[in-house]
Amino acid sequence: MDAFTQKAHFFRRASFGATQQELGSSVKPIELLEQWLQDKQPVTNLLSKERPESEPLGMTETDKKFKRMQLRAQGIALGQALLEQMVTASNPLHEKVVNFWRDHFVVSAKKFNLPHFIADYDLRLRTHALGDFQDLLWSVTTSPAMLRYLDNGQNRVGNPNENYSRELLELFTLGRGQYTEQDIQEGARALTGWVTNPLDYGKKTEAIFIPRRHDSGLKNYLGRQGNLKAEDVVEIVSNHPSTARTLARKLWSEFVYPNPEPAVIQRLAKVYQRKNRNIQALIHAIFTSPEFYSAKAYRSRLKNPLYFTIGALRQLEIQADYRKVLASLKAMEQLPYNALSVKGWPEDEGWLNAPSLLTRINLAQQFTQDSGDEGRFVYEPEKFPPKELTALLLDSSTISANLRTTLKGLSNRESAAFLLASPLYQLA
Amino acid sequence: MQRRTFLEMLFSATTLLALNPTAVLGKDQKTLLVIELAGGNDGLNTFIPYADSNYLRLRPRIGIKDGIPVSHSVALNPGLKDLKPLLESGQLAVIQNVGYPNPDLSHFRSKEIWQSAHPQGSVDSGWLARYLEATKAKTSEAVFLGDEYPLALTGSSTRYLELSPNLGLKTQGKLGQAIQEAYRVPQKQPMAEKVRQTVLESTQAVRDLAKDVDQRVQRQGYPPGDLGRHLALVSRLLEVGPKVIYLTIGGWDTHVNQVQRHQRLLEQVGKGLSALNQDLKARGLDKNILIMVQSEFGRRPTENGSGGTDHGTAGPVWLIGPVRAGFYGGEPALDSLQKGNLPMHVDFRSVYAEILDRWLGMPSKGILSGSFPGVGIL
Repeated sequence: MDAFTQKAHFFRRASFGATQQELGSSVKPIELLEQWLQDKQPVTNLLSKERPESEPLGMTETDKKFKRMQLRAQGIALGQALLEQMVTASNPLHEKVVNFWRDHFVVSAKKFNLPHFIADYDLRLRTHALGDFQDLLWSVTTSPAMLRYLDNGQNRVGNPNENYSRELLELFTLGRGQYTEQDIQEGARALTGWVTNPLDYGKKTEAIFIPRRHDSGLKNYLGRQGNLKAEDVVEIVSNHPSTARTLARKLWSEFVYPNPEPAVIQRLAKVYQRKNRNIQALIHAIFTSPEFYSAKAYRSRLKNPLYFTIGALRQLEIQADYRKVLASLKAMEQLPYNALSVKGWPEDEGWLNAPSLLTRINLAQQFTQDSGDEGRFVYEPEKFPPKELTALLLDSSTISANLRTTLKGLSNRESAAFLLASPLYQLA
Repeated sequence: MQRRTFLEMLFSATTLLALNPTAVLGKDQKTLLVIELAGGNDGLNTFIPYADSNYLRLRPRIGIKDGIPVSHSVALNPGLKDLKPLLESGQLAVIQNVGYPNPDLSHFRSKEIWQSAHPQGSVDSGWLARYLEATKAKTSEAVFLGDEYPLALTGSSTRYLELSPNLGLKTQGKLGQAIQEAYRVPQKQPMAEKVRQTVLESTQAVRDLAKDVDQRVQRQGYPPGDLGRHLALVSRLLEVGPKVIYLTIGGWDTHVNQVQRHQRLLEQVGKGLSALNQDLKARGLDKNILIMVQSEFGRRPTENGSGGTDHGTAGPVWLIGPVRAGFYGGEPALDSLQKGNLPMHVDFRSVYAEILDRWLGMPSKGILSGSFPGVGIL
C-alpha cells in the first residue's frame, strides 16, 4: 500500500472518508490519530433547546394528538442533529467510536418514543466513548433509555425481569457461553431497584435508585458472593477477561477486518486489562497494529447505508437537507436509533440487498444534481474536477483508460454521481 | 453470514424469475401468507358484534350500523363485502378474541410479541425464522413484501428475500448508461463484486417483477394501489413455491375519525384477497396457500373523543384457504371488559401452533417453546 492509499484507507476507517483538504494535507495519519484521541470533545445535548413540557393530568384528545406531533417533531430534530454532527465533525474518529457504541449498546426508539431519553443516552455515549469501559457501562446501565429499552426499570425484588441482565452478559460484555442461567438470574436480582423517575418526565433524565425495590439478599454472581448491587455487577463484568475479548473482537471487526485471529484478540485483550479498561488505549492499539494497513483489511468492509450517506455528504462537502437524508435512511432500513432488535444492525453482508444498494445509486444522483432554487442538496461541482474526484472517492492516483472515456462523456456533476454509485465506492 | 447462504441470496432473485412458472409447483406445496395489518386493526368494527347492545352503547358515534350480517352475532364491515362469498364457500375462518397474557399496549412491544411468539423475556428471533431455520430453508424460500423488514423473519444469521415492485433504479440519460455499463464490468475486490452482482440481479428482478405485476393487476382485477400490486406479486411468487410470504400493510392506527378511513382500508384488503382467491382458483392453486391476517392488537371497545379508538388488546385473526370456515373464539365480551379492554380467549400461539402442526407440518413445540392447544380451524 503506498502512502496515498494508506491515507485514504485510514480516513475511511477512522473517519467516513477523507475530504479533499484532508487528503492533500501533510499531516500524517498517526499524528491525526493521536490528536483525535487526545482531543476533549465538547459534549452537548442534541435536544438541549427542545425539552418537552411535563405531561399535565387530564389531557384531552387534542392535547394528546399535539403531544404526539411534538414527540414526532423532536424525534426528527434529534435524527437530523445526529446526522449533521457526523457530517460536520471536526473529530470524526470520536463520531465513529460513538457510533460503534450506539450499535453495541442498542436502544431503539421503536420501543419508546421519547426523544429526550435518546438524546440523554447519546450524550452518555459521547461522554464515555473513549474513556473507561466501566464508566461507560455504568452510565448505560443507569440511563433512563436503557432502563426502558431492556426493561430493567421494571425489575424489582420479588418480581424480577431478566431482560437486561441477560443481554448485559450475552451481547454487551462476556458473550454467549461464558456464564450460566443462574448468573443471569442472580444478576437480575442485583440489578433491581433502578427506575426512571416518572415525576421528572421531560425535565430531567436521570434514573433513581429506590431501596425498597432492591433485592438486598445474598447473590452468587460469576463467582462473587455478597449483597451485590448494580455497581458490583458493572464492576465484575467490566473486569471479566471475556469482556476484554468481546470488546477486542468487536472493535477490531469494526475498524480493521471481521473475525480477527485469536492472537490479535489476545493482544488487544491484554491492552484492555493493562490499561484499566481504557477504550482510547484500545483504539490506539488497533490503529497502530501492522494488520491495519494489510491487504486483508483494505476495502474488506461494505459501508452500511449510514456510512455511505455520511461519507458522500462529507467527502463532497454537500449541504444537505437532513430531513430528506433521514427519509433515505429509512428507505434503506437504517434509521439511527431504530434497530429492529437488541442485536443491532446487520453486519456487512446483511446490507447486500435491493433496498440498501439500489437506493444508494438513486441517492448518488440526488446528492449531486443541480436542483435549482428549491435545492435540497447543494453540491459545487467546480470544486471537484474529475481527476481529483477519482482520487478522492476511489483513491486511485491514476485513472484507467476505460474510466477516462466514461468520465469524458459526463458533466462534473454526473461524474460525482457516477463515482458515488460505483461498486468500489460502497467499500470501506 | 455463511458463504452458502450468501450465495443463495445472491442467486435467489434471478432464480425466482428464471424458473419456469408452471413446471415448479408440486401438488403438495404449502405456502403460508401472513398479512400484518400494522398499527392495530379495530376488530370490533371489522367483524361487528351487531346483536350485542353494548356495541352501540360503547360506540355511539363510530359504531357501524350498516354491516353485512353473516351470522346471528357477526356482521362484516361494509368494506369487506367481497369476503362474504369466501365465507359462504367455506374458505374463511375468523378467530375472535386472540391475544396474549398481560397485554402490552405499545405498538413495538406488541408487534415484537406477535412476531417472536415469545411474550416474556428477551427477543432475538422471529417465529417464522425459527421455523424456516428448522427446515433449512433457502433465503429465497421466504419473501418479505413491504417497507420494513419484520422481526418475524429475522433469524440467527440469514435475511430472507425482500422485494418491492416499487423499488427501482431511476437512472436515465448518459449517467444512467454509464452506471449500467460500470456494473457490467466484473470487480477485482471480492466485496465490490458482491455489490455488483446484487445490484444487477436486484435491478433485473425488480424490473421484471414490476412489469409482470402490472399485467396481473389489469388481467386479474386486483385493486389499484400498493396492496393490489403486492398481492399480484404474491400470486407471481407462488409459482416458485416459497414456504412463507410476509406482507405488511400500514395505516391501521386509527385514533382519529376512523370510520371512513378504516372502511377504505378494509375494502382494499377485501377486494385484494378476493381477487387473489379468484386468481389462484383459476390456476388451481387455491389449495396450496393459507392466508393469515393478523394485527398487533385490537382497539379499545369504547370510542375516544376524536371519532376514533385507542390501543386495545385482543382482536381477530382471519384465515383464508382450506380451512373449516366460520367464527371461533367466542364473542367479544363487551359486558366484562378488563381495564376497559377485551379479555383474551385464544392465545395467538394456539393459532401459530395449529398452522405449524397442521399446515406447515412442523412440530410446533420446539418453535414456540411450549405446547399450545389448536383451535380446530385446519
